[in-house]
Amino acid sequence: MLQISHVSKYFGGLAALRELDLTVHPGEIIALIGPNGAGKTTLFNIVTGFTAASTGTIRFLDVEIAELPAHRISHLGIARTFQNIRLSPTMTVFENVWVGQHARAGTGLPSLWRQWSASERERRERIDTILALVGVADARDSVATSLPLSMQRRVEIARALATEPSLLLLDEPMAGTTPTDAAELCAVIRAVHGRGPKSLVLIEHSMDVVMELADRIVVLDFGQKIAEGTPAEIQRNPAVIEAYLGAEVETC
Amino acid sequence: MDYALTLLSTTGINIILALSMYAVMSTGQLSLAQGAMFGIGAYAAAWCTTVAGLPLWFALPVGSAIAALVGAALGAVLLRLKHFYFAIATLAFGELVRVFFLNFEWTVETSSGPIGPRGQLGFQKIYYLAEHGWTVAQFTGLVWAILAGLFAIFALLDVSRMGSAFKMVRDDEVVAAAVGLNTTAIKVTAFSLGSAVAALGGGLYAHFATFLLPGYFGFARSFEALIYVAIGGIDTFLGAIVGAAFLTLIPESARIVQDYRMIVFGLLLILVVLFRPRGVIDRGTLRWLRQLFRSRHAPDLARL
Amino acid sequence: MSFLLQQILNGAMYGCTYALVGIGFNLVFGVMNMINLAYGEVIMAGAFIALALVVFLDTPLLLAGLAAAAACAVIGMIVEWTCLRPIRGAHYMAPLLTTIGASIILLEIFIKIFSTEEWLFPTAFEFSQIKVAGLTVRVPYLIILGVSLTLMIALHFWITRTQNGRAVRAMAENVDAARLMGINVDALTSLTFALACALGAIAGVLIAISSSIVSTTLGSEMLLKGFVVIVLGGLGSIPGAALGGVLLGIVEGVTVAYLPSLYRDFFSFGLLMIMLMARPTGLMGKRIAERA
Repeated sequence: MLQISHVSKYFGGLAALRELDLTVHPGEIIALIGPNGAGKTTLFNIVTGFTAASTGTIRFLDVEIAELPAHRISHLGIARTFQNIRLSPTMTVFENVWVGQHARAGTGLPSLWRQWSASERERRERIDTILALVGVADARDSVATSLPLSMQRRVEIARALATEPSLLLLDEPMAGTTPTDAAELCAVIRAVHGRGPKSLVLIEHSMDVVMELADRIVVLDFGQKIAEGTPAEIQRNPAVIEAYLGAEVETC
Repeated sequence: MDYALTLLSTTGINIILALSMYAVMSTGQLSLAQGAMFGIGAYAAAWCTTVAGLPLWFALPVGSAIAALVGAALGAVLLRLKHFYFAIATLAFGELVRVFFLNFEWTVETSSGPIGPRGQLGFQKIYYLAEHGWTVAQFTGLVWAILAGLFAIFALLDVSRMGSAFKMVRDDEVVAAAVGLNTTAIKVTAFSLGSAVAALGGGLYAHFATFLLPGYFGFARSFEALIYVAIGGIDTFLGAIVGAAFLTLIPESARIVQDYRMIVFGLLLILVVLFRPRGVIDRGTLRWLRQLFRSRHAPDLARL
Repeated sequence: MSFLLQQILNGAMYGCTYALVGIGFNLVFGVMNMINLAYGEVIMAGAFIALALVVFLDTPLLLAGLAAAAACAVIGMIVEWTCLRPIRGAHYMAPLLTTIGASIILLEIFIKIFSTEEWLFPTAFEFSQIKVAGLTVRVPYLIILGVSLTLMIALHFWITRTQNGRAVRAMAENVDAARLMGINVDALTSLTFALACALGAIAGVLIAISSSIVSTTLGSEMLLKGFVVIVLGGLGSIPGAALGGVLLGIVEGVTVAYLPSLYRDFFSFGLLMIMLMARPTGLMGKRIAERA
């Protein structure tokens, strides 16, 4: 589904990514792990079109996306969440998630009078379904940024879901969550995977979450892939153990 | 009575100018070209009614259309710039337009002398209203009828996907792009819309004032548009309306403010940004208004 | 051919004033990342203050220029203290708005005092010229060149060799780290602002003596020219601003020679648009702080 080949990224003299090869198959949950600065978020930025790769190609559903702008990549079906939660502070939870549908529903002049059409009503119902799936339905009309962080994370995931992606990239969804929140978020992610996007790529530091959710783990260090395999394989991999110590332990 | 009507007309035209600025600011951009677009609309509409002999209801949309096109073209080039650069680029454009009209002469000889833009002398004798028997009351009515229409459009915009897209671009461009919105196209659309609205106000102004001077449409006019919105409230079109109304009517009642109007405005702007950064009608006030509305009407309507 | 050369020479020398404006702009915006839309009006203020001193108080030009620079330094500090310091960290539009407010206040004050007419700036040497290598060089332009070069060299020295200058560069890289190292960020910010405004005032006086005319429209004109210069020369690059200023001067000089003066502004604007579209980082590229 997603094929990253020989992708490198240089910032001046610094190599953030070096000849990276990665393939995501339909239906997988992949976890991307590695120490801070290993290039994980840079990779996300490149795949979603916010940064240009210095070399390499990226194919998504047989379309070359390395040169495409971010909004076109979103159209093709890749959605993401951000490490620092980015929600609109002027909108309610519902409105924040509603934004996710705009690209598909259209934001031209006709949108001024199509608000009361049947298709619009149907789209709004779909949002309520997503909100329920993610577990924020009760906060629907609250200002999104007034919610606790773990709830805001879910709203971000909901917004990503509203774009109807086939590939969802989650950037450190567990960051800053308490063990209970993390467990609930894990369940949400599993539910999301079951009903929505066919594939998920997760950047995570919490090893328990990673072991629990991932079908496959890819380990990055200094911009290079140093290991790839099932959770069991990775756990035993000496290179990984050497390069990546100090994993946080959170129950999931 | 005439004085009150004139005041109402002026207020109405200023509100239109403010709304045009709001249109652009709703996508998070600061434009200093609204005065220039106001001017383009004024000259174009005046030309239509005087030189081309067209009726007013035709002249006004023509002026708006021209400005919309100019805005779209200008926006397409400038809107990749970051906010500060964009603001100055629009300022440059405004100056350019002023200099253009200062040197632009295109007159037609009539029985009462030359009619048309005459560079430094401006555009005189825009007598359409008088020649067609318009009363002050009728003109005021026209201004406010147009305002009502604009109010409806902006209200619709506010709750539509288009308006929501504007706000998303304003609040976080990165997220907007990540959810598939073409942020440049959206900013250009808003800028074009703002230009069209400003031109509409300009066309009305031209017939109201009966003569135009290039100096009216420079930085000071753009600044006026800006201050109406900045003080009234940046986050909602209601802010533009309240700001323009308030700042037009208050100087009328205090002579001393009149003479030093711009200095007072400048001070007010600084004070507002320091102490109430998003204007009088800020998010908190807006939320409070929504609650008020919600508690009295069905939840469905309250989605506004 | 020598006519063209003459125009280029004139333009290049006049462009030094633009260079000063661009440098002042860059000091504040490029180095400190602070927006000051009132900068143009400060330049205008400098020109008028010098004018008033020379015309009404018979002050010698040099003294008038220095006084104008000092006065504008103070104005600059007031603007920084009221319009920028209180809103540090607020949303990006805030400094744009407050400095626009400051610019309108300044503009209106000077309009009230001097009206919108053009004032004549009398100097003893305004019509003198000397001949160099077959080309005519107007003395006012020589003065511009001399003063500008001196200031640019002094500024370069300040930024690279003095402690304050280096501290400012440190602040440009990372304000918080600078603060932690004991640098008095607030004081230095005021100092840099004052310096930039003083530079602007001197540029204003130089423009006044070379064109002999001062009017309140100078402010917005200079704001725009400054903008073109930093776009041409690159944000944050002081040598870039110098280059950009001279280049703009040459473009204007050549344009005015062959086309009606109306087109001068169109060409500047056109140049601006082209640069913005083709190379938004300017001729010298985008740099945050000047290299040693």
